[in-house]
Amino acid sequence: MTASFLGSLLKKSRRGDERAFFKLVEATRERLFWTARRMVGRDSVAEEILQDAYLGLWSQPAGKSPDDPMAWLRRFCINRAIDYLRREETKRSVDAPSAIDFAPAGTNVERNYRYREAEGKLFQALDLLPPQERAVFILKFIEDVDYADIAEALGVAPSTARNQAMQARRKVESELKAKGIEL
Amino acid sequence: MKIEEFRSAQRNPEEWTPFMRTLEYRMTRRRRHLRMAIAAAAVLAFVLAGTFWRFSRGPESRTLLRANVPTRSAPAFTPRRGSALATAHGIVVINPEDRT
Repeated sequence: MTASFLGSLLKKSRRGDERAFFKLVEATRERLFWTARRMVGRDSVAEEILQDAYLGLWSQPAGKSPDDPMAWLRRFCINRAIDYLRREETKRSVDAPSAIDFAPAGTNVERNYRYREAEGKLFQALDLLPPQERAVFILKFIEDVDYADIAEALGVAPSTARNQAMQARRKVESELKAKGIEL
Repeated sequence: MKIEEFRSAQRNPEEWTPFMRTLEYRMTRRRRHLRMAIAAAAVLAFVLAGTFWRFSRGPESRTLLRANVPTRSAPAFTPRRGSALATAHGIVVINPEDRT
């Protein structure tokens, strides 16, 4: 989904075409949900963040419409998730992921089980990271976002994002290695 | 387990139905609030404009003294302050402070 296509959908919705806005939501929701979900570890909180992000985008004054809605939404979700993690740092617990939610298409039962187990351990390892490092790790290594886009989303220099990503990867790898999982 | 495999996570499409319904509801509610805010602002502006128009006009002529003066039988009477005399041209009010 290109930025220009999403931008044109946003422009259409600005002119009163509500269906265009819902198309934009449908085109971006899956990816943003998982970004937020991986950050906060809870479906309900991730959905709430996503709702606020779309309402925020929809309520933007016409002159302030972002050219790249996906980048705007990602930035919103990441920053809101970081705020949430900082607030809830001590009392947060991770929802147990369901097999249906997390199973990659075409996998068998045994593989699903291994996937869920590894996913749970990955989340435990991510819990050890400070919120910003966690965001960098998720964006870079799970979602394959460029350092430039990560830096823009987090309001840091690309070199800082790169350093944080490397640091986070080292921490996660050593934590997972201790549990017998190789990334 | 490769970390890239976590990228393939997909939500069940049915799980998006309540999400979309909630989003639509919140958008409608926000639009209604926006309309109400615009209407309230318009009413306030109308009231303010009316008040400004009412009080920004110049001094009005007001009747200071109104009386049926029986000039023949009682040519003089005392108003609230000073005194007034009925003359052939009208009523002349004499304020005691103006006396020199």
